[in-house]
Amino acid sequence: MNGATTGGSSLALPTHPSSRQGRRGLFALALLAVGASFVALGMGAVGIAPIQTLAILAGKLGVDGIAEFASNQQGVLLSIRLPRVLLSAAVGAALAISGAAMQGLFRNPLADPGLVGISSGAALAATATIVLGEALALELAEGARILLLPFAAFLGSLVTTFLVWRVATRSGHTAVATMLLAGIALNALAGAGTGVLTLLATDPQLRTLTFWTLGSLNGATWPALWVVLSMTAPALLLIPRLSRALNALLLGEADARHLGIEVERVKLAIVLLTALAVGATVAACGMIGFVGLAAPHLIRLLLGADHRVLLPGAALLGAALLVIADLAARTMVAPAEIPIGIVTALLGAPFFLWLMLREVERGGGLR
Amino acid sequence: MIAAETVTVRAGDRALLDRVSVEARCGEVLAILGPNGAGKSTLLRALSGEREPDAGRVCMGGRRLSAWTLVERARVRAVVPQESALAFPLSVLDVVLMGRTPHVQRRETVHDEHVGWLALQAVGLSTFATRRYPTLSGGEKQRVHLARALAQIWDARGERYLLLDEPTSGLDIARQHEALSLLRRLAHDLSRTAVAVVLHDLNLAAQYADRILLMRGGQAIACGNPTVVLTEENLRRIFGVEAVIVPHPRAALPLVVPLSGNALAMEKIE
Repeated sequence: MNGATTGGSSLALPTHPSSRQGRRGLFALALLAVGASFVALGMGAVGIAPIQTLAILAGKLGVDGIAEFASNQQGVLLSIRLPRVLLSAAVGAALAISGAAMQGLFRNPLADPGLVGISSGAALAATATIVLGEALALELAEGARILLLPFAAFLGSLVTTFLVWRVATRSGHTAVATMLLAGIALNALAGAGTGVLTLLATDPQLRTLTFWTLGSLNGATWPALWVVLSMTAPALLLIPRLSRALNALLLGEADARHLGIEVERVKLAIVLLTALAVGATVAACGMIGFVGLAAPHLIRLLLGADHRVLLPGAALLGAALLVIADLAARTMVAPAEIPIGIVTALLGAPFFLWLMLREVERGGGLR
Repeated sequence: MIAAETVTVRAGDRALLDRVSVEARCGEVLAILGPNGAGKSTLLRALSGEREPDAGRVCMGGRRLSAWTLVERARVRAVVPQESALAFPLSVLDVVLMGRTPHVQRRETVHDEHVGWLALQAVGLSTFATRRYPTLSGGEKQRVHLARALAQIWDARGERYLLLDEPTSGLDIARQHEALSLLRRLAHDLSRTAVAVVLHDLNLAAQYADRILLMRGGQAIACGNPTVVLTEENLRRIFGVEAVIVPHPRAALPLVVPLSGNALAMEKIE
């Protein structure tokens, strides 16, 4: 029972089974994300074969002669499809990792940036910017306009998050149930605010708003991509570093503290990082539901709930899912586009239900 | 040694703990007994630092508990909760390895995993390593958390502390005795571990505890050797039960035999 005996034991120790499975799973998911991106880069009004895609990208890096391609193919790929696919991937990854982190933080697989009011707060602020701020934005330079919407959305998500936080926190302790309930109330309030603004909107604004409420990656440009990347990078890079703390938090906050985790600091970090990331995605392409909920769930079903695998896994799967969904959104009824929010629900919900039922029948259950 | 010194804990106007002083010494098992609402769990929470005392203080290893950082505490002191909120599909081994959290820098080493396996073996669950935690029975879950706590302080240097809140409530009789004798061995091994455990079963406490603390209404009523503390008078005063104490047939231990209503009536007729 003491330290000296642990070294010389004759026990045959199996290697940790889930870590091996996790590495394989992550590798497969990375392949899926890259593969989906390649397919998405080639498909659309202008067809580009995978080898041509490779040739154009390599040409950009100074390696020529892999394959022949037309200049319009190059133009479409570099200025339209590449930023759009990368934006889909970044948004999908950010939504999925935020969802996974909040579910861990709240110990509730239903938690999602949408549920705690982060998305709707961002949406309210962004709507207000579109409807009320048009006059103001016209005065601003092009560069500033691109930043205005994400910044407003981030402020919106931050304000709602802190309101929820304040309501739920008593003497340094955050009650999760209260936080979820407060989130639901603020969701309703933000929804009402967005509704009022819709009534005030002009017809062209209304079209923008409708499309935007259902989600669209139509506005993907390189500058928009850089804004989203810079706002989601902190979440994507820093949240995985909290995976050990999130694992401990699954036991409950008291037990996590007994394991040496500074729970309040972890909470603050996750709330700030997700508010930043989700605000950026809402500003860039509206409210895209389901990814933040579904991607982490699927990873839990496939690879288990260990956050060291779950967080990167959810990010990769979220990226792949959104790239595929956006591909479907822009090709299914071309030249028109379906809002991506509809596609994510149509593609994901039945699959998700099937997986869930399978798991319940096996006796595992989601809980 | 982990010690409460005249600790008072209030919830509103009500005192959950009223100037309780007790010490769990290294090398011994301290059993905390008392009726429901006596303040047993609150005392454990105060000892673990989960609940800051409103008056008095808690010391661990001669130092005020508040002077320890959370990680410092976690490296030498483990807590086994009454029940856990864990509902996510982690494997049993993953749950046990959570106990290594305060020791791990970046990722678990082979040594950490080794400790995890040994802790699982110690509670008799080594064949359960890959099972998903939510599919276990209540008693199995309790043993997983006991293994997690063991893994946490397994190789801690110097004094170690283990606090447990009714770790045997879901266990069958064989597992109860296994768990308690494991705690006793842990405490007595090199005499450097202090075990404080909340129990309900008086005879289990009598068999395995070195000392017993009897609590009622947030107060420490009696504390000491099982033979001294488990008296008919104390049981009547604290639990409100009529019982006779008989000598254990095989060991120098007291055996508590509670008298049912029927038995009391019979006595009167006779």
